Amino acid sequence: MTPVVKIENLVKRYKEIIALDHFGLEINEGEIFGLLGPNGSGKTTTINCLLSLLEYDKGTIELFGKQMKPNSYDIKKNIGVIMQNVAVFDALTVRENIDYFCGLYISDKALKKQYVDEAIRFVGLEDFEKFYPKKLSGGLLRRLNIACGIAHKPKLIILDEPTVAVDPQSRNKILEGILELNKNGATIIYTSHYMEEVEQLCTRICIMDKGKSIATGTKEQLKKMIKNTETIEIEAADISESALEELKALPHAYEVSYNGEKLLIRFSGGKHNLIRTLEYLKENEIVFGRVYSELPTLNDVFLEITGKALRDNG
Amino acid sequence: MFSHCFKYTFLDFIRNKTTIFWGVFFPMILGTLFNFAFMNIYESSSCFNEIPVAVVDGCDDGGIKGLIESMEESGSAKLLSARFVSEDEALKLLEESEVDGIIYDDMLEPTLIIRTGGGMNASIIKVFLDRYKTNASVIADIMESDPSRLPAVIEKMKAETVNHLELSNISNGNMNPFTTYFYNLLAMACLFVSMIGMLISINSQANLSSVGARVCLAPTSKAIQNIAGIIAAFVIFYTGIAIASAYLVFVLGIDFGISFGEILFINLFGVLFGISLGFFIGSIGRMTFNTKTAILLACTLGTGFLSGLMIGDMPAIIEKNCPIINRINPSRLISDSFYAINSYGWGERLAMNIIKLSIMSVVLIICGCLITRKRQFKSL
Ligand SMILES: Nc1ncnc2c1ncn2[C@@H]1O[C@H](COP(=O)(O)OP(=O)(O)OP(=O)(O)O)[C@@H](O)[C@H]1O
Ligand SMILES: [Mg+2]
Repeated sequence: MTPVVKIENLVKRYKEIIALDHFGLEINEGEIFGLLGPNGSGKTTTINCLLSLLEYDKGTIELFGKQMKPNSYDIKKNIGVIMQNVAVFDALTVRENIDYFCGLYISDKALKKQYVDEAIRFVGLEDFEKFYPKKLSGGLLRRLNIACGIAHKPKLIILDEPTVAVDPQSRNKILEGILELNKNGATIIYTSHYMEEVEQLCTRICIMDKGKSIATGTKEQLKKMIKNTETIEIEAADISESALEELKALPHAYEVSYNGEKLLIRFSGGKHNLIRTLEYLKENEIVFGRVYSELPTLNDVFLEITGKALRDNG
Repeated sequence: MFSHCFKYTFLDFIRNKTTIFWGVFFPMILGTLFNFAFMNIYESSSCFNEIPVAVVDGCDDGGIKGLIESMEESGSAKLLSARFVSEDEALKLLEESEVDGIIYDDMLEPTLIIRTGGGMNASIIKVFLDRYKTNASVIADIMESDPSRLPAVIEKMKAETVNHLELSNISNGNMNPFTTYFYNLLAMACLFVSMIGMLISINSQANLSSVGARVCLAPTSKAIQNIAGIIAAFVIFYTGIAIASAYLVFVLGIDFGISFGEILFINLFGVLFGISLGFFIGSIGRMTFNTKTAILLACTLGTGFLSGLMIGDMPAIIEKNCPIINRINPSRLISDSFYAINSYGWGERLAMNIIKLSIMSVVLIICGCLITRKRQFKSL
């Protein structure tokens, strides 16, 4: 089966900044493919090159098995894009905006009307059809933006950080919607720097940093790539240097850090890490508060490969 | 597809208060201001319309002295206030701007020196003298053929000269120097529509607007979308300029010297050119929106300046130094079309102007479409 998207050796420079450095990926039909990376890692640049909006310096891009060019109308017909910035006409109402963009793809009037109705229902804007974009809240505006991008029922849907600055209610609605679109047969590309979202949604993920693809796979595959299997976090007010040394000597523990309030121990493999840790604390009469044990997250994957956190507050 | 794009661009423009303001209300406001400003100048200048001239006697006893004296006798408003002086004195007066021109009174070949920048007054003196010369040659002919008719002919001529000069000065016809300012005002209003022309191309380019990105992604030829936009803008803003023109003519009562229908006809080409210019500037280069706006403003005001929007004598100055500018300056072509109908009727001069405007418009639109056709951007 030919992949829906195939990018090879893509290089894109903005003057001296190298935004994409021999970047490549393949996406198959039916996937929800996540592009995960910190701000400025090149996600949006990848999307814009993919869509032939941006010139690139090197590399090949194929969509649906054909080379993508600015006038590849047969390819463009099958793509729906939701850009990072809201792109709607201020002087057109919700319905008119959707109708306008849908009409650029669908010329049959009856079919267009049906698609527009479905799109409005899909994003839950039935009560706001006659509203102008200025009167919509941030979350509703994002939903309108999405409706404009997907009304024509594309086979490949690209969403560039659709949940940035969106309230939790709208965010859930958007995420559910993406799953539904996928269930109806669309292949999805989803970019984000929220790893929780990507983890929850995507079937396969490419982690990007500084224009390079640093790891690609399902979330399980990605997590298996790293040493960490468990991180234990304990609230404790007073731990001596010698105790920290002894904790680090526990079986499977490979990293211990302490900031005066929180103790953090990372383990690689092993089964009873939590029990062993707590027993040690009790035996040495160290007072402690709440305890958390976490399985590795994509943040840990990113941290281990690049040596820095995915997001500063992540 | 075309009608779909037309419909929505139309709605987008007509609901946009800013564009409607610039397209419709701005020319009205400017016209009102012009009108008030000129009303005062015109009133004060028509109270004092004696034009100071120096008359230098030639070797023969010329006829001008007699003519001027007879005009004074006729008791009507005086056109020229003449001083009869020697040549040296006359030159001094001219230098000190005491007089607007010097007439060398010579029966055979009266000549004229006019102060540069003398404006309307200088032209009136010239008209006066030309008229006189024509009459003089007629008289010379009659003297040869049938001298007995001479006294009657001279009497008739005197009366005509007086009437002609007085009437054309006082009536609001061709001689009203402010009419051309309103021609230029309408020309500028047409060129201001270029801002809307620019929006059309901005809205279809990914690096200039976010809706532009969507439009670029659609499987529809951009040329169709652009042409639909241009036509929609034309319909709206042509109507806008028509309303503004109607306001100038019927509400403010400004006399353009041509019929309202003729004004509307010329507006057609003006608005078309305005939109094309904006569309073209919007399409070229990789400048930002603000840079493009600045270029357009410079074009609109610059060509307006050169066609005499701020200084009425500008086209005359250009005609002397670099006439090609007057032939191609779109603002001048528009305002000159009004002038051409007024002065020469529907003729060659008008035809040349509107043909040039139409060709320029079409070339600009085609270039704009070609440039944006398959464009990819270096940076978004
Ligand atoms: N128009 C531009 N001119 C110059 N440099 C740019 C331009 N656009 C992006 N860059 C640079 O290219 C790199 C990649 O940017 P890009 O927008 O693709 O990142 P991103 O992953 O989408 O980030 P974000 O999460 O903030 O959206 C960054 O270093 C950015 O500074
Ligand atoms: Mg981005």
